Amino acid sequence: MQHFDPKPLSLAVLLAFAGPALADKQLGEITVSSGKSVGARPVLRDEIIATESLGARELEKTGATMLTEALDKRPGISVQTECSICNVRNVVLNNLPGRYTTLLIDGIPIFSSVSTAYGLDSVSLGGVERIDISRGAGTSLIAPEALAGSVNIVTRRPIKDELLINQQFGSFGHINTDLFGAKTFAGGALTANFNHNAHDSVDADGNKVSEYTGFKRNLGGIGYFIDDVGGFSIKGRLDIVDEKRMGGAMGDNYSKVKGDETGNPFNWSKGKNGSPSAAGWVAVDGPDGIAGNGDDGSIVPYNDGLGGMSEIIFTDRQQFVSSATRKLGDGTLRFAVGLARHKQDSYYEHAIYKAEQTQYYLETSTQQPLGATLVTAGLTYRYEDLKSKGAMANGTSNDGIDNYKYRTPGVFLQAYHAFLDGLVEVNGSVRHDDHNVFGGITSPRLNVLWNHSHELNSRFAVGRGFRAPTSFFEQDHGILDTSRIVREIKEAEISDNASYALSYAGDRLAWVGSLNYNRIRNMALLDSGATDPITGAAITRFTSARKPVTVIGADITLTYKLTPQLETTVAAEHYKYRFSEAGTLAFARPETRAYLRLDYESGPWTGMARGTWTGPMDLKKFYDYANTPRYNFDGTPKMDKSPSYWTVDMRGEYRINKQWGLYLGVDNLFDFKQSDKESMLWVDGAGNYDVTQIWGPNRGRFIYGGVKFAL
Amino acid sequence: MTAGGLKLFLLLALAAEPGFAVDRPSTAKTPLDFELSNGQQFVKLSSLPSMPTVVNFWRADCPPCVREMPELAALARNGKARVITVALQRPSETAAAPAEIQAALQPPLLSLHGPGDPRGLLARFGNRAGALPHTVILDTGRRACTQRTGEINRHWLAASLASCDQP
Repeated sequence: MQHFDPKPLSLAVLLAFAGPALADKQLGEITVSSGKSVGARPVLRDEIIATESLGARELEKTGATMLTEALDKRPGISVQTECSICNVRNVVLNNLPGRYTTLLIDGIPIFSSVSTAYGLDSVSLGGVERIDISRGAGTSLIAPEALAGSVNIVTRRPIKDELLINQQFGSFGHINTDLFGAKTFAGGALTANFNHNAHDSVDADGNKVSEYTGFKRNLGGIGYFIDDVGGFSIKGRLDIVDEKRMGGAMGDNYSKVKGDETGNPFNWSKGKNGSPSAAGWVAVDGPDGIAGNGDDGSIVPYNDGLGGMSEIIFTDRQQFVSSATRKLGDGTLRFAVGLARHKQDSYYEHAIYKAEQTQYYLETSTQQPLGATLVTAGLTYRYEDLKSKGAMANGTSNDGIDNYKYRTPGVFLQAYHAFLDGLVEVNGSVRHDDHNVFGGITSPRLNVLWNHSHELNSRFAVGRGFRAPTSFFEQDHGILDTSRIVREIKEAEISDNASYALSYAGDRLAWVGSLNYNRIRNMALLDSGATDPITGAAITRFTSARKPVTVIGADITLTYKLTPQLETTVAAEHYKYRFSEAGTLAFARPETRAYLRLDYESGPWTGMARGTWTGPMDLKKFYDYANTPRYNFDGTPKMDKSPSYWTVDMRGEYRINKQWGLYLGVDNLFDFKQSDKESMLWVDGAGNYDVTQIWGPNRGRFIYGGVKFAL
Repeated sequence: MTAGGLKLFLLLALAAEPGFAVDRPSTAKTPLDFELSNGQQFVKLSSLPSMPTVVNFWRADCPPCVREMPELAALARNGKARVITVALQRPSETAAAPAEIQAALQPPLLSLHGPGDPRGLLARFGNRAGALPHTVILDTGRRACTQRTGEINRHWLAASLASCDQP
């Protein structure tokens, strides 16, 4: 090794062959640089083409304790809360629905439907090397269902023994404990991580109904890295998740809430536009929903107890991912496997829903040079099975209403070639999947990278993805008060995407600007207001949109190092939404966001301050006021347009010595929360309530601090 | 590195084909420059006195990078060439490196930090693939004489500097 001198050409091939498993960090004696936090670094040889990448240091600087916090507030990337009392959260790429974002662990897709709803909060950040984000359909060759893009968590292979402890306390009863340990040995390493994260429910407007869901979460995992077993380099990890969350009623006495089914423990007169009566709210058209028949404006009394306004979700998950890579001929051979079992035991406003989801993922692929072209070919098999049991609020059983079983064998082929002495790189690929319900689906993609100079390059990408709608959970997690679901979906959701990015990476200045176009056909839709024509019972139709939805966006990010200690980032995004059917883009999103950030580092001090400006949202359109007018509890109409707002986060850290460090941070410094302007709760003309009038922060100022120890 | 890993590395490296992305040779003829931080101020390569220079790109979590650091420090103390190390990590990560690395990074070696996105810098210094460690020898005109991606040793440094002295 001492005398080996690989040429850059050789390295290009070497890295090309490496594949995700090896190229993550360390490849024999060569370490692949991944030290970047802003801008794109397209690597067209990979199966997953990252458009953004967040290193472990960046994750630490934001004070994130879970994946959803780590990804939020970045151009083209945000986290959307879709329920004010259970806080189901989605990672939103290019402002497309969160179900179109696929989460992968070390390149292995192992989340779907039920597990995506609440599972993303439970993804451990322990032992993470970086998170690669790929915006755009077709950015991941192995996850065609990622219509908006994918988020790939890359684990870190330790190179020395480690012990990392991070103990954090914060407002609202927040406690977060992170433990990470690594033991290295000749030819490998073992890791173990544990996380305990707890947060009380938060009720800012005083009506005794939470806007921020309380939770207690324990995560544990072990990982292994073996450098050479019969020529294979093997890595893998096993993770276990146990989470309990409850929103609506305050506190954590789950059994008491479930058993409390009558009376009014809430105060509906509190909060912005609260009801004139603490006992209930105004039904503008009267309880029958018909205007002008004498009962207009009457109070609808609430009498469902704590349980009628509460959602309680217990999650129990085990997942295992592993991959093995070795040399084959002049290239590499890779095997990957993923297994997940996800159980949800939940209570939704008197209704019961218990689900068990099983997922398998198998992959074998090879990357080989064919002449001057690097070819990747592979086979995948995906298995997904959901079984549920439940009961409506009136006790009627609705077992198995959303059961499904998907088997999807697939084949993919990718070719990479560099032209003009590396000035232009082209990656073309196609995959074909044979879905047991939706049949054969082909999804192609093309990426072109043009290196204008060492610092400046253009990337153009076009791609197609497809997605088989799973259960109602992916769209509306808690509409369970239905006797059955009628699946009327004939075709998979199809996304066509085109994007262009121009990026510059200089010594002090870096910027990237991108344009993206997304058109989605056959978008899955839920109609929970249907009735069985024979029995008259409430049923839910699961169907497809007749017209495509188009989302077009542009974003730019500019980073400049003002001084050796201080770096500033300015960014903005602007999006246009074209849709005509209610429920396609079911939650409000802004046209414009802007970001301003300062990062400071000098000696033992590290600081970060960021401001995020969110522009107005067209609530009238997104929430379909035309067909379902929404009202406050006092009978006044909900806002047509949300106000623009800033949120400011700050964090500072002082490193006492190599082992010990202290930090203090505040999120939402100026305490802006939606409930000061408008309640997240709403009622229709007949006084039926819901929990989905969401456009702003559901938690005010959050102060936290902690101590870190590293050995 | 295990024997299997070494074989894999060698075989893959030798399998180079000209169709893959490479770094254009123009870097060898153009005076190279950068403007990077030493923690206190920005340092422009072109503003430093003219002399042969070794520029080494590294990270603390890269074993070969760490192994070769004492050789670079010895060369810097020797005074025959300027030695500049460019850490592609945050200063706090460098500060957390082991004591022997901290010792190696002391003057006369010039320790700098690269930008958050080092893609352009690395490509300019002949390393578009972004692999570490990467070492470039510059002549007195700041033109690249030779470069190496992978671990170096004193013999390579001596031979490379000697070849750089050739007219």
